[in-house]
Amino acid sequence: MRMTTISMLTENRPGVLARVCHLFSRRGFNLLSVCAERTDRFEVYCITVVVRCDDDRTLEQICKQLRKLVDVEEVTILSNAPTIERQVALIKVGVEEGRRDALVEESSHFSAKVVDLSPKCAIFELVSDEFRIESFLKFLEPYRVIEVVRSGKIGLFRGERHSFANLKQSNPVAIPLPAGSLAAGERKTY
Amino acid sequence: MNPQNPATDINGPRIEVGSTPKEMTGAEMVIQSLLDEGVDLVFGYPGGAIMPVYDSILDAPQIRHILVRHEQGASHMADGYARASGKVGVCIATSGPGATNLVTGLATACMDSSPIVAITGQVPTGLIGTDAFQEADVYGLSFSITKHSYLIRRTIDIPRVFAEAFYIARTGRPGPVLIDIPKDVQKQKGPYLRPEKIYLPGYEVPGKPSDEDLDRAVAAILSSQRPVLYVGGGAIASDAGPIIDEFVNLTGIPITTTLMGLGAFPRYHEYSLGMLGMHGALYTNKAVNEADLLIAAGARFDDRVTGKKDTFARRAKIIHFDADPAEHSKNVTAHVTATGDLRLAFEALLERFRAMKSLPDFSGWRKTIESWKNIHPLPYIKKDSHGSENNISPRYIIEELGRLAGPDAYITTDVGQHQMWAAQYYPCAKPRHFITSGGLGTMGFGLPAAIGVKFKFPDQPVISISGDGSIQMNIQELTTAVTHKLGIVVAILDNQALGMVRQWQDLFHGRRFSAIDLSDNPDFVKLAEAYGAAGEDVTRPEQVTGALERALSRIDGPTILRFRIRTQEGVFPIVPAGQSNENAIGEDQCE
Repeated sequence: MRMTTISMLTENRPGVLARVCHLFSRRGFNLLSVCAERTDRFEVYCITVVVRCDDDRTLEQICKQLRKLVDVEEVTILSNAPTIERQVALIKVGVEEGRRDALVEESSHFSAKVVDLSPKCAIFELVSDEFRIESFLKFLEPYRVIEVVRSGKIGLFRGERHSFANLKQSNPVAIPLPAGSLAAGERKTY
Repeated sequence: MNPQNPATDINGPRIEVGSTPKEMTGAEMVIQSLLDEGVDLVFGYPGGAIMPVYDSILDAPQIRHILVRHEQGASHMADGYARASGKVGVCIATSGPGATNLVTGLATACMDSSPIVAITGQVPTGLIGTDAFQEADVYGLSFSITKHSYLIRRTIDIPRVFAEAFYIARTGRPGPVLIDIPKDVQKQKGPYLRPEKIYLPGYEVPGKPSDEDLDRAVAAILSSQRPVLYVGGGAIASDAGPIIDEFVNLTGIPITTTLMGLGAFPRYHEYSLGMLGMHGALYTNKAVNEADLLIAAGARFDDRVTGKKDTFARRAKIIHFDADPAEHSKNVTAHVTATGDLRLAFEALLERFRAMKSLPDFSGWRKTIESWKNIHPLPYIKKDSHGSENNISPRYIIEELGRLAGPDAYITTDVGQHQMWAAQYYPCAKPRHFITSGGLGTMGFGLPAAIGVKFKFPDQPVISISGDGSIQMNIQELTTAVTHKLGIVVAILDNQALGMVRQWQDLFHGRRFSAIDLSDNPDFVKLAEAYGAAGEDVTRPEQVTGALERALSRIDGPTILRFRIRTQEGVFPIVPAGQSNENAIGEDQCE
């Protein structure tokens, strides 16, 4: 089972996330997680998906079909190069007064932060890659884990390499509009 | 963004406008946008949520509106119009059931890459999501059956959306675009800001393939001994037919077309191998199987073409030209892929071959194919598949129709046996003249498509070849044809059964016939007369010619010809679904 992280820049238009997700069911691709938010440019949206896909040809098809959507500007496979990938996990753990300090102390080895404390519960926040989140969850098994919620992934290539060629391009090329079958100047008016 | 008009809102206005904009309602903007795109003909059906547009259309005599009898008919008419002319076809429907009735038409156009724009009314924005009367999420429904779609939320966006929609529909690999407009958006007023330029940063229109890819293709052709050109609907959509014609005549490479590619090359040219695939002639599929090079152009290696994929063209290196990069390696992995407009691609190839001092000689290879053709031709025309001359052979009807209708005639078909006989035997010689639902296989496509074609080309013969099953899925559009005095011919090959399903049950389901009996058909001749059309019953072979001549000469209204053929008639050869094309059943093995 191979997981691949694909990141795409899309136009920030209504329905774009629905359209991207729909494509996976339409084409029979296996979508595991989705994470979407605006970029630094208001009109550009970044959607990162994790897909399960065991062969390169299907992966190529996924990228091409995504790229074919009119609203999708760029598609990049993050898993192909060294990346920083992050996801957020919030974990609510039931813990008695006496064991709490030890748990908080040990959790710091995972860089997990306590973001909420109540007499019988603590909520940990962990921003990391999936492997550390998995091992933290494993570590918590002896405790009473009440709820776990996790976000999808986001990522960037390490170093100088851009994930997207046009991320900083601020002036997309305009297409001069052909005036239908009418010759210029003789546009009929309503 | 354009510094003069910074995009300050997610919906745009990413537009540049010249003069002072005129104030108008959303509905008026719809009509003005259609005029700006040069639209003079639309097919539609009104209803509550689209009434403002229908009110405004009265003030635009330049636009002819054709009232259909079912929204599906409108979508197929727009599709037929688009396929025959290469221009964008337009259909209009109301919200809810009106919009959902377009769904089959949109899916049909999407599968066959036909440029149509569908305009639907929607419930007012405040009611969206409340299960209001005649509300259906047609925008959501459209995702997988359109090239792109819009739900317009602000009146001011209408001109921009229409400009984008028409541009997207007709460029690149064409396809249907849906525009859903809530009723309040149609009623509100705003400035008409027709954009001079549009911004679609995620949308690319393919140009000429790269020189490296073209050089690789040329090298592969030069080093091959047994090449076959395999041409699909892309050649027709990109108007590459005449260039491919020149290319074939120059190089002498034998050419086969898919169902969608029929007409891209003259059917009875000596280099033509006809249609390949499930119902391709044995010699055609054999040529593909024995080829050492397959040049695919605007074709997508559909399962009805390839049969079992890993046995398809197994000895061949594959070159794949396509406007849509997503078609490369989707079904079959090609050795050379070239993304680009087919017309530009073949112009470039032609230029390279013309510059050569000596051209490759494929006459030996063509002779070999010719010898296979002599051993395994398509079944004999005049006889029915029982070898009798007392019954009308469906093959004979198609051949006779081809002879009488002439090379300028437009053929549309429905789906089933009659469609395959038409594909096998109709002598189609011109691009855009054989119009059929190839990808989706939509029964009920033929009659409305023929009406759409006839509106565009009133002086050319337009014939819809149909079956007794298919014709009843949109026969209501006969009214539309009668009302507008369209001299189209509907040739029903009536075998009193769902013939193709019956044939499969005969061959592959142990002759267990399930739900295929149509012996309770209405009297099609009386039905035609009830609609105000002419009708004629043809029961014997010697009546075929006269009936066709009479129907073709009628110019002031449609004619239904009902040809009675044997229920047991089969389409041959046939490759069982999922099997190798080498396993074709060539002889008549129906009872």
